[in-house]
Amino acid sequence: MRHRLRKLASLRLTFAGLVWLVLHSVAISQWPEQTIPWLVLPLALLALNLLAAILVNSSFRNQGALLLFHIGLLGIVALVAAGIFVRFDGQVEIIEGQHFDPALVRIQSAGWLHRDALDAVEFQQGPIEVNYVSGLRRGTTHSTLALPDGKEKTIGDRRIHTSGDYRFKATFNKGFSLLLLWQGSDGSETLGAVNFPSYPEFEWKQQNDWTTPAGEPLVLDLVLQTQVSAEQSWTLASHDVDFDVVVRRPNGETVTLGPGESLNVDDGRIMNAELRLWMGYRVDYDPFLPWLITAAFLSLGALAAHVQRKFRPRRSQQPVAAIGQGAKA
Amino acid sequence: MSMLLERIMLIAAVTGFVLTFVLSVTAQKRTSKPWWPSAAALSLVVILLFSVLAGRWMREAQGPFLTLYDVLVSNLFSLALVFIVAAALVPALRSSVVVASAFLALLGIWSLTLDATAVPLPATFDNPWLWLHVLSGKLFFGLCMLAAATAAMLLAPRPGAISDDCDSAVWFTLSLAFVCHSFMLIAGAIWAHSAWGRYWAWDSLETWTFITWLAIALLLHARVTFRQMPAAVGWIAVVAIFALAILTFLGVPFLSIAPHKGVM
Repeated sequence: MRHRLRKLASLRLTFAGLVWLVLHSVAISQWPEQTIPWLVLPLALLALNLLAAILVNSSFRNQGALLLFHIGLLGIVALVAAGIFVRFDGQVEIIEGQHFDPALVRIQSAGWLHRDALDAVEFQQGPIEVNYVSGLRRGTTHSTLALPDGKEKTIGDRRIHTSGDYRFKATFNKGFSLLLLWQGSDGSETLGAVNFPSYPEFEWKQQNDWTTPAGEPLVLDLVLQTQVSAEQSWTLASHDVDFDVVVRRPNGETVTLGPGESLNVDDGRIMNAELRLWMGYRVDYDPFLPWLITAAFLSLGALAAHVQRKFRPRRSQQPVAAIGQGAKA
Repeated sequence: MSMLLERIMLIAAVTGFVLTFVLSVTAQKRTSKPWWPSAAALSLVVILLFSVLAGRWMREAQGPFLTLYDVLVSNLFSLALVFIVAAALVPALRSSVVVASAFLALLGIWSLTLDATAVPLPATFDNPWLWLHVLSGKLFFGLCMLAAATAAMLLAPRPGAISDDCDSAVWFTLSLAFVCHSFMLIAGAIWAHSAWGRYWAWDSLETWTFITWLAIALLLHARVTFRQMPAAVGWIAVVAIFALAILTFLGVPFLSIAPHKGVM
């Protein structure tokens, strides 16, 4: 058993494992969508090799800083792997005034062991403001959230909102949302919203389709009277926006609706109620992140201590050894 | 500082690198191998580049983080500063000024061919972790250049025995570069998490930076694993790692429009 462990702890195997990892990392640069399959085997081999070295190699164990550095690396790999099993990554668009609804979250990826707890997240989207500087460069983003305790929180470029270990990060993705009031011929009234493409990125195609509750498909074009400025600073916000909505019906009729104006359609009427902004959020969950950062810094400190110990001037004037020399021989 | 003055001072700095190279080659031919003429010329260049960066920073009201021109000019400054400080502390590194100044002169000439127009920084760049990420990256690059330049000098055929001090200096600076690279990765991941809500995304720069880190780890392990490996093989590998670092930090990022894709 010990003989096999010694073979598994071989430095030549470490070298081979690292070469394997380098080759697979080069492969990732070509096929980045396949990261996990490329990394699992070489990392597993290196982890086993390192565990075996810790067990059978006393000279390695005796070098505290070097040992701690390697244990830190093991910890990083283990925490990243654990994160993959429980993590969650999604996106959601929320309109000013709208309450967060977990049903709106589009899941990008979720670990096999992730237990959805988004139902416990509560907040209401408040005003959104995004500042632009000349050259149409995005400046600061301010997205205000109303929290259940009655407080308000403004998040943006550096500040995220955390609720139940879920992190909400405002993204560059945001745009206008048209509130339409549907008045059915049966007297029913429904307020709905149509989100237009990201603005100002897709300023040239502010268009979306919408089907009325009665089943009539409409094409809506948002026409903004003020064009974005590439020369000077400006702020994207939903207040004081001069706009119209062009509605195109299947029968070829095209009508322009100003704010508050209505149009009779099949089995009811629609009213251009209001223009607001929607904000796109990245929603992610990885409870191991603080531990991952701790392991990374622990590992880094140990590496620095090892280098300092290996290369500090010695009275005997003997040649200095390389980092890790004699570690796992 | 006006753009014209900035240009004139940058040309003067690049000329200073060429002068440092000429002085260092001349010094190598003399038996006493005086260090001070090269050190004086390089110090002057560092002051010139500091003035260029400070003047540009005040004019544009932002740091040199985004465009290839900004990154190259700030690298010229940081590489020269790291070299002059390290060579002052470790005499064994001084002979590498020949290689280092030649490399810096080439980098300087490249910077003169680039568009110097500043591009406003995205709001995600307003983050202290970015500073730590960039500073540790520049330290890594400087130390890696030192290791490679010293290794290149050791590879050059010349009379006399090879100094153990120079060999030790190569591995010491490479090990320090490894520490700085590790810190750069951690600080970059924390910045990325704050800026985009993810700490690692395997974009081209992240992937090649990880490959560079792995390559250094591989070389340091190889030195322990294959103890009979000829010293020259190790030195060639150190030079190769610096070539990989150049490709990673000055090549890969600028295949897109910014050091990290998606930062705009």
